[in-house]
Amino acid sequence: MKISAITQERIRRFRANKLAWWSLWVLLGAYLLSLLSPWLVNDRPLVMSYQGRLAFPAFVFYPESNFGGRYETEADYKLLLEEALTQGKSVWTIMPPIPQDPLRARLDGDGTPPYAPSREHWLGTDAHGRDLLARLIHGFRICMSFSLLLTLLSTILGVLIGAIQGYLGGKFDIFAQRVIEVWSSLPFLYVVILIAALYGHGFWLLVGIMTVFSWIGLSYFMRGEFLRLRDVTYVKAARVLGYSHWHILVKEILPNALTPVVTLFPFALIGGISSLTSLDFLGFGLAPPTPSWGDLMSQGLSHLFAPWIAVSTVLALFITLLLATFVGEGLRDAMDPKSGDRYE
Amino acid sequence: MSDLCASVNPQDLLRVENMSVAFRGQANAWLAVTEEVNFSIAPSEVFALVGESGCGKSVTAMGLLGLLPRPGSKILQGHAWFEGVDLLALSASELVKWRGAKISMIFQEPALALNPVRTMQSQLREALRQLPKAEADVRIEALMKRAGFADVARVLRSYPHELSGGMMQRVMIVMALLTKPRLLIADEPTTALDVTVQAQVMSLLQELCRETSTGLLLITHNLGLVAHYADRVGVMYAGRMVESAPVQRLLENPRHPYSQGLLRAVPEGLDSVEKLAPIPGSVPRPQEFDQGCRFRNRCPIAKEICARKPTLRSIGEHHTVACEFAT
Amino acid sequence: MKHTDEVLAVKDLSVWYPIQQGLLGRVQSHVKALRHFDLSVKRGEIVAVVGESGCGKTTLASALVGLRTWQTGELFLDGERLDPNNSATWKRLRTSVQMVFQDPYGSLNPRQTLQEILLGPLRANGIGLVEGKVRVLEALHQVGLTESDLEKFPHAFSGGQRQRIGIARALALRSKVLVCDEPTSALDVSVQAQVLQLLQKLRQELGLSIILISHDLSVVRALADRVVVMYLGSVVEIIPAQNLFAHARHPYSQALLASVPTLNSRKTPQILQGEIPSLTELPPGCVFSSRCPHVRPECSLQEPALQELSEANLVRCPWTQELG
Repeated sequence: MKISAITQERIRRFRANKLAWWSLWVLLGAYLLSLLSPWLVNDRPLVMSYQGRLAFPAFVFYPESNFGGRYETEADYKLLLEEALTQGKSVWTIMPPIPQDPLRARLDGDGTPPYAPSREHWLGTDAHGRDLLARLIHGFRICMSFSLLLTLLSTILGVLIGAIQGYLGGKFDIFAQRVIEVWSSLPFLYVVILIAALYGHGFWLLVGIMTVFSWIGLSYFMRGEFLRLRDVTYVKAARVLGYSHWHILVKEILPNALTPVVTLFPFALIGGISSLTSLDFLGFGLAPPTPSWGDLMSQGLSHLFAPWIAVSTVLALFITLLLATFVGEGLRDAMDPKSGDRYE
Repeated sequence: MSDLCASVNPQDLLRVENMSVAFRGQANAWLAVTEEVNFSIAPSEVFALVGESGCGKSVTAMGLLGLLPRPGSKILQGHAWFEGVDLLALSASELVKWRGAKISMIFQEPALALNPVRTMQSQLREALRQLPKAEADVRIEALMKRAGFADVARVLRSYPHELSGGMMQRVMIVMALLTKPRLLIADEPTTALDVTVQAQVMSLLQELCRETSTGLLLITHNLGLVAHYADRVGVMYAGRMVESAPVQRLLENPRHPYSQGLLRAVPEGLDSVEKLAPIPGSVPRPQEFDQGCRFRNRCPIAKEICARKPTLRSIGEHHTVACEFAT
Repeated sequence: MKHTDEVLAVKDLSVWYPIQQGLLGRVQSHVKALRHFDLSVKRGEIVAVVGESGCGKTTLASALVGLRTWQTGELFLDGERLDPNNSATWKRLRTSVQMVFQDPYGSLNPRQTLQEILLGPLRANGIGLVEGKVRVLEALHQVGLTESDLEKFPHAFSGGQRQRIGIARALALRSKVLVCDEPTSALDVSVQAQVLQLLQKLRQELGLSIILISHDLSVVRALADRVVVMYLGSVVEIIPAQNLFAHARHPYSQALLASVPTLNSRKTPQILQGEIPSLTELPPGCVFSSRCPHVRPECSLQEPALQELSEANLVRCPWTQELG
């Protein structure tokens, strides 16, 4: 499908905005890397040779007993290696770049956790002794994935409902508007707390509930766009030419109504990240010990004497949201340049 | 250039010399939209600036009053002498003193030029805000009556949406002439109106301008209006002035191939479209402007010499043409 | 009886717009935008409908292509009677009656290539891909565009070309009747003639019938065979185009003609007094009575009927004989 000249021009304008362009790549790159976090940030070796036998602990589960341990639980490879070295067994490993696990508490520092940044834990640990950097990276993966999923689902819902509202207009629109108004006045936080209390704190459950509340904003925009575009001459022409209603909605109007969708996407993403972080901060979000930034913020607040927790978390959140904001502004300018009057 | 000096009249109300306007185009480059436009208006004269889309007539008018969008546009060169002052050299704050008071403007869509939440009376009073209210009201009432409104009080009380297009435009004319400006610029004042209302509005414009001795710069693409209401006319094409003459001379003896083509393409008095002679091709866009004659791709008598910039020649009383073959 | 010469006929067409007021949006009254309109169009005939704002010509155009509900009225295609408020009728009419819109810049979807714009409607009306492509090329050539234009987007074309694309779109569907709503008003004068000559050519070569909605009387005179003059929703005069300028009988037609500033004569345009009344408050009796320069007291009593003055001239005014 040929990209229309309008879209090409918009892409060109976005690329010309260096800040937005690079922010997009940094964000995207960071996210993709974070998706690889099970293999980049892990305290299990990628490849290990233990007394001549090859093993891939980062990919496969090996019980302790495999390596001469007593139990069937997963081996603690750090201890295993220390033991092997002191006992002189032949062993070599290829470790992930950041050899820490976000879930394993290491209580071998001075005193009680949280431990300050050291050679072992580059950003220190949290209040439970878990490596902070590992938690931040895994947390990034989780909150970005959550937010992307949330934004995607609520976009689809918002577009669908708003489009049908705007296209049909009349009584359906009035009715739907009233329903939406009632729906949007429901106290979102209470609902989340209630449902989480009843059904637990699952990732998918949370995505589900939040989607159900977040599509409303976009539907307002789409309704407006469709109401406007419904009367545009080429849509009238489409009706006279015999196109079906569905075709007109999807092929004629929708491609020209996507400006709000594109421009709102990054800001919705930011909203999603913030919402999840807030929920986790309050303890109503994802269940512990899931590495989440909200949880880290909460810990940071209650352990202010260990500033590395709060500072690194806030910094990570700040940079992420800042980059997303740059992308969002860049998209908005690309879609609809107001200042700098062009002669078209 | 020497040909032109002969026609420069120191009594001119407005004299535009070599005015060029540029807009910011793609990739932030400046695109010259009009080039070296020259014309003059005598006091109380009606001068029509005629041309089709993209010729630059509106841009020229807006440029005179500093109404072009900033920062996306600029005056590349030129002067616009009005009462001894170069309008194009004035700063924004200085221009404010001239607009409305000495030079007024009315636009194509009166509904867009009026504030929808204020009554006509309050908007009219604003034009005369320097005067005490009582005096302003007297003047407003007089001019409104002159504009042919049967029930002046009702119209004054009304909001814009309560009036028809023709009525709004007539109020705009009153608003523009309240301050007794020396020059009124009318940018396509009747294009959005029905033809019976158009007649009403144009004749009002003509009459009132005569009474207040206001010069009128009429921007239009309608040659019929030019024939009936203008004294002199300037024809613009693709950003340049190609011919300018007294109206009767242009209608009887157009010398530029574009003017000739334009007059032949108007379907007037014809029983069949076969006799129509459309000008083949279409108007070039500013991105396609070049130095040579911009009409040569559509011109029936174009030759190689036309690839060079055409010189403006004077071929008679106040009649100038920018074509190598005009004489 | 089938009139094989008559391709489209409309009888007693009325279109009303409901005015909704009150909390519940109940319909209180109607704007009677078009009232009791009759028209019969023969094969290869060009009928012009002229008038100013509020005369109903735009409503008429929309009604003729099924975009408006018909309050009353009968519709005949090739002599066969069809129900105008049944969507099946319009589905069938898509390939016979099509519309060319006023706005060349808004009538084409800016994101579709010319190929999609021309081929899409054919596919939507059940025409196969292979035949569709053949028809598209045919239509392109008929309007003077080339195959290489098919990949381009609308912004690459000028206003005149876009109008021609609008016409091609209808031709590809093999329309018999083209409803042209002010097809040249938004175009430059030097380009208008191109479109007008194209319409003339299509009429001659294909026997295309055209209903030309326009406010430009010179265009109407040059292109049309018959002219229908409308004022405030009703027909005031029907007259052959060549007689329009010299022999129009209805006072409104005369006023309309007299208002047009012409190049060739220095006759001052005549000015009609008063304002055009609103469609919700029609004057009693003859709708033109509030502005007619020859109005008499009898004019406000009853709306006059359309009388036949001569074979081709119908007028809605009982005083034309006296006025001369």
